[in-house]
Amino acid sequence: MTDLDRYIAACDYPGVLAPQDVDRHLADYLKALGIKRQIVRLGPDWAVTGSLRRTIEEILTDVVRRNPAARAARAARAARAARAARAARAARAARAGALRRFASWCVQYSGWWWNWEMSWLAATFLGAKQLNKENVAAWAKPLFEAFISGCWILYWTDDTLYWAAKPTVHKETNGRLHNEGYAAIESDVENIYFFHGVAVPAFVVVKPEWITVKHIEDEQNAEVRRVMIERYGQDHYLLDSKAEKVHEDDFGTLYRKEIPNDEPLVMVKVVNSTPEPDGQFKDYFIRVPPTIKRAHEALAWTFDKKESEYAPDVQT
Amino acid sequence: MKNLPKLFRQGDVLIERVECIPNNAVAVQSDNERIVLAHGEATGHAHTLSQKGAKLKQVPGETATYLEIAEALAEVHHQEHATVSLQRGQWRVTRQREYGPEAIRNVAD
Repeated sequence: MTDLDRYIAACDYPGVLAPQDVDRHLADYLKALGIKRQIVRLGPDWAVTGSLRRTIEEILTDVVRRNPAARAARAARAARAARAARAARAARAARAGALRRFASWCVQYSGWWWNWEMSWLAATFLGAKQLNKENVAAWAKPLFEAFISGCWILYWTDDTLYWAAKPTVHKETNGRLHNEGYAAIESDVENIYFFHGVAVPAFVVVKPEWITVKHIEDEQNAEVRRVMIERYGQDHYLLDSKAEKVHEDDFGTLYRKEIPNDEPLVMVKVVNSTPEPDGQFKDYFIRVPPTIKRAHEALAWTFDKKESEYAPDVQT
Repeated sequence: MKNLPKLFRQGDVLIERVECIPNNAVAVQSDNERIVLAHGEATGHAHTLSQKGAKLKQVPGETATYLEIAEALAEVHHQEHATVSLQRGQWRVTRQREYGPEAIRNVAD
């Protein structure tokens, strides 16, 4: 098996995890760099302690210093907390939770976006080998082996090199991150939820029944809003958000709901021609392009017909 | 033939009489004695007819399918909809679709 084959196999996450091997290879990596650090894994029970806590607090302070709005918000929070002495314990707990969320963001997202993600770093070794750069291979080879042994992300502080293991990744057939019932990236640091490739808050995936019309209408990101509407149920959203009834004829009823910074949701409500076992006729909704103005036209579109072409002789 | 019904709808499937089936349509093989026009996604329900005297054809790359009925009448069944009777001749079968901002997809009942 060539190193390239081993690399390709290791890109299928989570794959092998041998924590002791990761520690050993990272120790070789530090030695090659001539840097002294402790090596600590951020495992499933990780906490914001030690030098990780110090570093995260420093970043947070810096963020607040650079952002007057955040400073004002923190001052306001502090004032409220002072007034409500009884809530102090709850506030401390909330702050600890927020700190952990911020820490996981620093570790996972900075690792991800700012090149401490190991699949990216490890590839350096393949290039070093090809170009016979021995001085690069000296530090890139141990990193490569750490990646093969299951390391995903590195995070540096002044006295420690933290690492996290590769996550379990759920994708749909077209390759987009997606999981209908749980996190699409299951990571020791922080689970991340995706729906058809769109990163969304956990409850949108796990507890869609918590979504409200207000959640949907307050959401600024059009893609996240689309997912929320899909999870809420397009037809329920149409009715619950008081959509406009645009047109009605023998074929059905056409509703339209304007959505800021996105195309309108236009759906035709039709009545099933065959009764349910209890004798009732069930309504159902079908989404049509936003250019459609009439119910008959909408239903014709669903069968790729013009309005003038669509008049079934028999419907069941 | 004039007054015979030409356009049938059974749930999410539209069946219309056509003059002829395109020459490049190829026969679709069926596993058992039934021809399945459309499967439901979740329910296991399907629009089906007997293979006796009926042939299902498809033009490569097209979503619509075609039916050639050699018997006087062929019945299309579905668990939730009343049966539809097609006369001898050629028919085009179109699945109902719905719009999405990213892609248009088939409806499945």
